[in-house]
Amino acid sequence: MRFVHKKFDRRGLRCVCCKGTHAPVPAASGKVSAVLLAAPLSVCLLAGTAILLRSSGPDLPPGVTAQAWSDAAAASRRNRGVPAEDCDVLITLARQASRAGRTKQALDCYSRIPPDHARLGLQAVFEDAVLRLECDLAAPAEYGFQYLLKQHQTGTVLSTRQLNVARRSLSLLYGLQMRTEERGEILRRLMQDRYADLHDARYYYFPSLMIWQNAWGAEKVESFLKLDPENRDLQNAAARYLTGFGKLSESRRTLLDLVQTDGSDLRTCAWLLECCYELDDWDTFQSVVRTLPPVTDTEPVVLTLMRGEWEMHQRRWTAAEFFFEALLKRDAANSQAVMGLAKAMENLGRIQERDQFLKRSLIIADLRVGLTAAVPGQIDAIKKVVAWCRELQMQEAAMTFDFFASVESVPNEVPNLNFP
Amino acid sequence: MVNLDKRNPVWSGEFVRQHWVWGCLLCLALLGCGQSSEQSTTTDRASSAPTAAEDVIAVQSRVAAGDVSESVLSGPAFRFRAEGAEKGFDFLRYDDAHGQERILEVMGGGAAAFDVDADGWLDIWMSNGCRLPVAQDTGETPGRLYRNDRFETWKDCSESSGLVQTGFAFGCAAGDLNEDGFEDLYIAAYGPNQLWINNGDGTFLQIVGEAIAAGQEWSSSVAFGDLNADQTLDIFVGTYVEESDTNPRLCNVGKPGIGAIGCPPAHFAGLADRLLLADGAGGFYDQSEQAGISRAAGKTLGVLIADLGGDARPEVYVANDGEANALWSQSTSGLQTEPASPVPKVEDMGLVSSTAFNEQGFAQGSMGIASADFDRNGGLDMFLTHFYGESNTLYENVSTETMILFRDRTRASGLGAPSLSRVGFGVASIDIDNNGWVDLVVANGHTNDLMWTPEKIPYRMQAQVFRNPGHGRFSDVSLEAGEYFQTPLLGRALAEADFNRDGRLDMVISHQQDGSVVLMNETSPAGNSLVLRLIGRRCTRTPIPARVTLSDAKPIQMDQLVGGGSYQACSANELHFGLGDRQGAKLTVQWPDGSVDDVPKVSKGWRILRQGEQSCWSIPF
Repeated sequence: MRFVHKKFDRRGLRCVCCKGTHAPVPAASGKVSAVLLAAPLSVCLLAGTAILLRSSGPDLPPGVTAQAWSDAAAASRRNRGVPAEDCDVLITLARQASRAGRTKQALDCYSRIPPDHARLGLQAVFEDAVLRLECDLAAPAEYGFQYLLKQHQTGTVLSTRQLNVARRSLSLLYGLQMRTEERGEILRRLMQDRYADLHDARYYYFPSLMIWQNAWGAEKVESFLKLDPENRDLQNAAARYLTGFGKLSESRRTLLDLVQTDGSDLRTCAWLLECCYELDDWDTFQSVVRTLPPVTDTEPVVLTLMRGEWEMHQRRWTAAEFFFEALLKRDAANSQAVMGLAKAMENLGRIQERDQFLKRSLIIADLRVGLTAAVPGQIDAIKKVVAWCRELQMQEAAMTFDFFASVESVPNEVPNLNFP
Repeated sequence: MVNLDKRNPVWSGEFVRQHWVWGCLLCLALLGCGQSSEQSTTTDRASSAPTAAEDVIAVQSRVAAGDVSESVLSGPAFRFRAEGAEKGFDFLRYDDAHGQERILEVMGGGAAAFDVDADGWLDIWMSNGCRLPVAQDTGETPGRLYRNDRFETWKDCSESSGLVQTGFAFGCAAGDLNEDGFEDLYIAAYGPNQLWINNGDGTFLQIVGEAIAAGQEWSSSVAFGDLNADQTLDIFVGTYVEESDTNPRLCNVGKPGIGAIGCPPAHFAGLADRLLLADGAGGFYDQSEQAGISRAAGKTLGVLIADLGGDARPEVYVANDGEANALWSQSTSGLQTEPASPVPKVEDMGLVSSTAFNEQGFAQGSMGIASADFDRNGGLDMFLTHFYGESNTLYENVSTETMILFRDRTRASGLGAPSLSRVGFGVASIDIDNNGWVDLVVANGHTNDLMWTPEKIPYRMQAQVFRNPGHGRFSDVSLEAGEYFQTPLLGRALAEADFNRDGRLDMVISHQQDGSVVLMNETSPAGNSLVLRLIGRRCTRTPIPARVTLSDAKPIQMDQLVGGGSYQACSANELHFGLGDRQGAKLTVQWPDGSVDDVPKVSKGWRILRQGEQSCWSIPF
């Protein structure tokens, strides 16, 4: 009778059943026995070696083989001239995966690099955010870009490219979602640092004169929403696009649902009021406007506008004047507010002021059309915008467009994945 | 160490590694649920970005979603049927289109419905383009005149009439300029305009003159009216933009296969309109500067002459493309400060009357103008058609004795949303079912083929028809109105007339790239109607503007014989009233010279009313 060692410990060296006390196999079947003994032993040895190596090596991202890891490490070493750290390998793997279209793997690799890594942390965050934007992962992309800007504000040095791409990407995201106030803040920083171009300037100074109802924007928001259906900002935006395309009843239904889930979201309230205004549905309008907190200078501009329109509807001209004036302090070329003030002044018997606002509305109307022609290279058109800005007492805007009239604009830098 | 994985734990490899079994099961379970909800969401939201292919689906979706304010009809279904070559009306406009979409070639032509031979049957004249530049025109594509042979057929009488319009023509106006009982024709063109006097024997004679030619500019729409109360019809010529037919302005938009196409109107300078006053001897003299209109250089596409202030004085409303519309009025804020002068001094009341912009303060595309008392409050309202992404605008007339004033009622009317995805041109305000409430028909079609852009904005577009139920909110009933309204086209000029004399108003619509059509109103049952042809005796024979009120109607019914209107079109110089079940009406007529006639009883049907008479003549059909 012979026993065969059945279970070996992790190191493959000792049978756990008998603790090695079983009698050895008789010599007559020594060769066979030796083979029989050696085979599992070899397997055990090999397995044990593998386990040892594995337990002491890097935690490989899914889909990344040890070979791939080591190739990446070698590549990194060749590039940098020094042995690669794990983060070097991860960013190399991420870039390779990204170029090959293996997005999940790329994002997984980026996510393993600590953002506070001295050398690669911010670059990884940057590349990760760019990739997420390319993949229509709007909220994570926004988070990443915002993280970079926060780091920049606390003194961390970002490259010019990182900063510009982060800002422009956020400007794009906010623009698509019609988060005008947040976009304005980004554009303001671009203007301050003199990295803004003509396109940025148009949106910064004249947000209410730019067309937001475009099919491409609506489709983009849909794509974002498919991947993040519970994202409230995206839900708000999708509903507003419905208003913009005239699907007022559907928009109202959607926005009412959103208000019911969170009535404190002022952007939802603003766009619901806007939709009700377009529908001439003053009953629903009233039910929402009564729940609003007091006006602030940080609330959505559309909300302030709708407050003014409500007062106009109630024939409370002085109150309407208050809201429209407050709005003009934030958006000096808001033509609806100017028209509202003209009507309010007329009803208050202040005819001279009415005429001033009407004159202003003429200039804004010309400006709105003229802005479409004010593109890089069209110096005359840009100079007309300068003149209109001066007539509207928008001196800073006049100076900015005057600057653009005298220089060639730098083209917008769009994110791409051509990283080194 | 900051764990960015907390941002999005789904992407965390560690998370998946630890929970992959449950994760797989959960994903499989959710996949079955998520698929259907995503699909419905996709379907719902896909229709928010209409494309040419999805246009009809988008409209149907709007109906299903309740965006069409009234899906239940309050009256008979509107029905229209298009006629064309099979009845002899075989007009296809030539615009020298070669794919570059120059601005000259995308604006389309004009149409006039008028009675050439005074037989009571309304005929049609269609303006035509030519090979560009105009100087090289060989006359191969003249305008066409179609005589209405008792509505059995349309006879092309272009050659026999002598009315041979060459060059690149746009809008037109018809009226009895020389007071001989036959309607004459004035044609707006790129280059010199043309005046054709009707000889009364089926032929026309062209009258030339420097003032008549109105310069070498691009004239778009034209309107007749007695603007200085001298009992002669004057001519207001709307002019569009400065453009060269030899060196057209092109903008490089990267259109595949073409590159640069015609620039949008914002890139062009506007032109001052022209006022041609009749000299009483058959001629005209250009008084634009003296009247004060030459100081304003707009981009006029639509012109309307009507008494908008209710003070028996005509105003001229000018629809300017992308700029403030103008309302030229002779009196300051409606007050009569001086008697009519040989040369009327006018001022632009557009801003103070709230008709320069929409209520948001936006200047809009402003192509076509329709006028009617839509709300039956006695004031002439206006409806303007606009560009893609802009809603058409309804201006309610709320003028007082001292002020011409309008109010933008687009939102409450329900006419805004359905027009956002359209480019509207010609427009008709007609009582389709003769129930006493005036409805609307709009001819749509883009100026540029943008299907190659990411936004895929539709090029050809369906026309629309809106029912006025009488409570202020129109409903889009295009889906039920007949095959014509389901056909995407490039609609342009639209003129209204009762061509077959069945008491229901029909239309002629000019298209680009497709044959023009006569659109027959076959709505049934339709109420009774009263069709009035007014003949001035002390005032101009074609009494523009004249105001007729059906004083026994409740609420009041009022209409005016206006000059111009629609887009580059001239509707029949008749007034049409839907009477519903009523057999007749009591009329009050205010003539352009200020005189008023009360006609105690007029029966339904076709009637001629001469100034100063208390009864009407009937037109035998």
